[in-house]
Amino acid sequence: MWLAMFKPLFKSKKFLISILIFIFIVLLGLVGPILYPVDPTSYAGPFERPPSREFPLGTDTYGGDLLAKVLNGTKTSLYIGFLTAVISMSIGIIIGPISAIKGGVVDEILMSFTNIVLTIPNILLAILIATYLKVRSAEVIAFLLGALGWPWFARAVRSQLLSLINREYVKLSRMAGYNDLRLAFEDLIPGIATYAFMSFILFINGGILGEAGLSLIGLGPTKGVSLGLVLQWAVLMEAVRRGIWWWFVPPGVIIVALTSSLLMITTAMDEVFNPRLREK
Amino acid sequence: MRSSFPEKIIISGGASMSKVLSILLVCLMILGVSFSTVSAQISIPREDTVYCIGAIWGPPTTWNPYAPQATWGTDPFLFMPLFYYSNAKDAWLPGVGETYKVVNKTTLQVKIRDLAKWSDGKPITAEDVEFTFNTTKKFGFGPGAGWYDYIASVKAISDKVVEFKIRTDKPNYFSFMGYSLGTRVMPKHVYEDLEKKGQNIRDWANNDPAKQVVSGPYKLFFQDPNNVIYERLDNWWGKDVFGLPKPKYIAHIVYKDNASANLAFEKGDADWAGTFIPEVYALWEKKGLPIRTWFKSKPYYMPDGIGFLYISYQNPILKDPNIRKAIAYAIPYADMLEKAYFNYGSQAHPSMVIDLFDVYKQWIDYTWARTTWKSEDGRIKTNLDTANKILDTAGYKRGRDGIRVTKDGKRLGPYTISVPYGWTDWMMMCEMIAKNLQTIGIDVKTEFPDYSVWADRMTKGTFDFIISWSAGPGYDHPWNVYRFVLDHRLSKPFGEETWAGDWVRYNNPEVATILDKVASTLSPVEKKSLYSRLQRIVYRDLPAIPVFYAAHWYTFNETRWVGWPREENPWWYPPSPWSANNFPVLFGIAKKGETPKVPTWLATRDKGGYLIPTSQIWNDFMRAK
Amino acid sequence: MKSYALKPFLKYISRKFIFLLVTYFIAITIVFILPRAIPGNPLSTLLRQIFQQGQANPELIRSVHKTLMEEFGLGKPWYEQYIDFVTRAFRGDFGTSISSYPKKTLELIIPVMPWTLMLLIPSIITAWIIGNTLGAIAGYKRGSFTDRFTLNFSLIVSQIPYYWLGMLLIFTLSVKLHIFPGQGGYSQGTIPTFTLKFILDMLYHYILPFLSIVISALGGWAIGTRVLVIYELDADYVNFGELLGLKEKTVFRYIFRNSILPQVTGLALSLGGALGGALITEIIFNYPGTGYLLFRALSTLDYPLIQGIFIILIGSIYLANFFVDFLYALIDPRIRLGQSEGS
Repeated sequence: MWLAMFKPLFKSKKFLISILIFIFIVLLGLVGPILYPVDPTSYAGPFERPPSREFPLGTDTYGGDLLAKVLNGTKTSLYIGFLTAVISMSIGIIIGPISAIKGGVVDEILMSFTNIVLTIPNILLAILIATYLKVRSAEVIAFLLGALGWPWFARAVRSQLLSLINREYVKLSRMAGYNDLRLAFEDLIPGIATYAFMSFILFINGGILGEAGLSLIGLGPTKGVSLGLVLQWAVLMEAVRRGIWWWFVPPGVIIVALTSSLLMITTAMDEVFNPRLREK
Repeated sequence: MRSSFPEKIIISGGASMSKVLSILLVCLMILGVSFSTVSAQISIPREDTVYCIGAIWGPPTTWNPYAPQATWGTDPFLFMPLFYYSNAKDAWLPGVGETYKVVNKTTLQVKIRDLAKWSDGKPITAEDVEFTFNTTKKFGFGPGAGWYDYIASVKAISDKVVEFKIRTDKPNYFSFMGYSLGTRVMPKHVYEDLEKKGQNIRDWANNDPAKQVVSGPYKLFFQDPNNVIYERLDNWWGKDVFGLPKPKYIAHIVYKDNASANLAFEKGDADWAGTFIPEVYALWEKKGLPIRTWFKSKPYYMPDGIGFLYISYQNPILKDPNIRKAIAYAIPYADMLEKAYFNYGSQAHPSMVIDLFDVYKQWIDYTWARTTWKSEDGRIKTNLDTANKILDTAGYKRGRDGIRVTKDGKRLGPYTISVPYGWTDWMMMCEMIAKNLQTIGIDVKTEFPDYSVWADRMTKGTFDFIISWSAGPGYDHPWNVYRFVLDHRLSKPFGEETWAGDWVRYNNPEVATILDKVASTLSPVEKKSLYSRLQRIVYRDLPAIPVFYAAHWYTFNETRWVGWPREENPWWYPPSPWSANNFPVLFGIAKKGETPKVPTWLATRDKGGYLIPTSQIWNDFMRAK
Repeated sequence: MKSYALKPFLKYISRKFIFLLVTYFIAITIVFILPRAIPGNPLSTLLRQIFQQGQANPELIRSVHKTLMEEFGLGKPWYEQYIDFVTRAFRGDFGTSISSYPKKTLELIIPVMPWTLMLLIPSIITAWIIGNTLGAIAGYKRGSFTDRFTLNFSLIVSQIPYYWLGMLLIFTLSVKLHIFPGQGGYSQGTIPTFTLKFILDMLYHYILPFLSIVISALGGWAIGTRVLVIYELDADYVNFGELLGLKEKTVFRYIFRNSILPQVTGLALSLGGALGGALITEIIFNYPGTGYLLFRALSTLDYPLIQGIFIILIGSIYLANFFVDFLYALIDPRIRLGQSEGS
């Protein structure tokens, strides 16, 4: 059933190209550090050298190997993005359906909570909270971004479920005595599966971009290497105005390629699955 | 869902869109008008201005020394002390003071220059000095804060003569001299007027250029969150004594960070730098720019303090001097300085004395240092074999994982070595130290927490290893360093915060006794033997390990201003823009194209200048009754 | 008709207002709790600066330490501190900055706010207008080359972080080609005045940061409006209009107006994110606005200043939100005519 469902996707050129780019970058992050086993935190090289055979992406102010940093940074950024998505998704997938199925006061409370989190500007809140976190590991950053990113998803899930709940087959299940949990898993969740999948991808983007943003103002992970941290140091050391392009261009290119390929994947899916967008 | 009311939206939409746009326009206009509140001034000519970097990193605050954080410029340019101290020359330059007189072993008198006047024309008097000290005592803050621990009384005995008496219950000549001579003098009449008006002195910003009353050759010209500009007073009282400083304006742009400031400096937008510049030598060696530091080659900068490896006494195992000694041998001094510090600075002498200044060399017992550390100048040579041998002999056997254990089976570690996240040079040093300690069988891992966490551990003594600062050169060096690092009276129990010193919680009453004796003696011979005793204790216990001399950041760009002091022509030190005692620098530089002339008054008295060597003041005290 | 419309309108507006007030209160509470939940001495940075000025004299440090602890005294019980904090916050007193002691945080924030507003508001409105127009054209000409190009372009552009685009612009247009100045709000050595010369200089420095926000923000709007226009194309009135033989331009205008309506609320919701991005863009450009000040406050751990900046930023976003809601209520007849919002 799943195969049949996704088959039309592979006819979309846009989908194919973007998934290839995405896979390429994932491989860069996962296999790259193994194929190029240089410690990204060591300061072995000469200072600020442009790309050469010895250092394919050059070195930074302290002689760090930028290729090693970018490869490992890609891994961390992907990890943060993925973890952020898992966290946001879990919160949303709990709050949205409960709100929709229970209705009444529970719905009221959960939705006002959701609206409050939605209204407090979450980038600012993330900055504020990160300021006071003393140890910021990749997980902590992901948790922070994830815990602030879910409201729009929860709201969308709720409204989609509400429209589903009023359909005939759901009413029948209810009459057949299904409890809420079974109702949610058997009848409702499958109905929003594609939407959830697409949201998951958007959450990944949110995580990757969020990490980069936090890092740039000095609130990124305090351990390890991420694409945001590479950019942060490039900015701190004035790489841009000093013309050290090999420091800030590659991490940015990877971020943009990664997030826009993911976004293209969702648009392509939307075009395939959403009847109203399908080309006539 | 959406198309239920399309027509109506269309009908009303047209009118509303223009409403929206007009409201937006109004907003933009309000914004525009809000800019007009910014004061109106003209721009200052570049060729008459010395631009500085590295002294201000945030919006300027106040020009009032009684506020806890007066903006840069208040000290060096606006208010003068009685005397300025130069640590390289170990001499005092009279400022508003003219001469001193040692009346007896407990009394010092200073005569103020007859010419000295405030910028509003009122004379600078002994009353002003007395007022300055008393006000500081009243607020617990301000010029000479803490003087009452050393000075018993400050009294104006005539219009121009002020008398200081040392506290005889715990005489400390270093601090007595430092506070009496080096404290900046404040205008009594200005502050009294403020008090009369009911103004709280600590909250006074003193940011109105028209109302500033100063004793120095500059006055505030303009300030906003991004700029601070000072303008020379062409009718300054001191022009017949010192001449006039060369730059008409001194300006400081508030840059975001080191790198953006350095970039402006490299481009010639700034002339006088007090920042850390990575690979500074490349600026003249590779790029051929007219930029220099104090030294043309390694270590490029003069030392400004000692970076220590502090090992807390909290952990009972790490108390063992054998372990500490092994660690001292395991630190890769030369490697660290080259890799992490661009060779800015050199390995510190284990005696805790900064021996790059000739005047301080006399305080090191070189014979004993050579005997202890078995090297030419008494420095510790990195040697992992020696370190291993020390640990083997002391009975620390290696466990299966290569980490040593104590005789009763306790593992040496895991310990952490930490500095704040983002302090790249120190972070690299930690990595390198940790690696070597692992090799000799001590399990040390690096940890880079947020600054405030690190500072919290440091001041509470709840760390294993940290790299941190200590005191620097001064008229009381090396006494200040010994006191800061070793004096348990500055310390507090583990877990209680102290910023004053002795972070490792080293507790040795003998040290305290010696420190007090050094402070109260006037005899250089006795001082020397006391220092030698301290060095024996330090080598034996190794309470903290001196690792490197931190650099005195001072770099100049001679595109527009030439003649800056440097190694070949060391006419004044300290020369950094952020140093409070850089006053003479501005008199000796010249515009490009003009010939710089070192002020003649920067010679000692016997050679026709104004400088008084510190040793002369000591001698006067020794000879006095 | 007017009196008939007023009541639901007021109801809607007051509901929105109360909601924002409650949320703002929660935000202030979070701002209050955070620094107190974490141990550590907020004065440590200030104390370090004293060491760096080469005045590491134990007496001075002790005396400064004592004075400052009193000044920022945290000795009171938490509820008193909280009431104090909230009442002072509503009076516009956010406490004293640590790194710029003894300046009040508000004194530091007010002079930099105009720079941020001047950068943010024109650029997001420009992006909104251009993005929506592009999206609408693409959606209307669905499937054409214009559509595909606009869509793919927008997809990529919308994922470029403002700040990275800023870096690229600086590197190409300033460092390499020397067309625009690469940093600051105005030339060094000039002093802000209300003269034509200074304003021109300021605009010259304004172009790059402005562009980097506009370009990366317009993609998102274009994508959204394109989809909305496509939905709208199915609506009955469009078919009806076409049947009636209305000019294509007229139909497009109707569709455009209808589909950007939800984008007005979108603008309000995006403000927070746009502000976050603009703050970082300011840091990249060394632009003398709030982001610059925040960066400084963060790197010196100036907690009162950080709190002050956040209270003001969140407050202004809420004000903007309310303002947009107000506009929306004016434009949307469903609210005016007393129907419940949305569905």
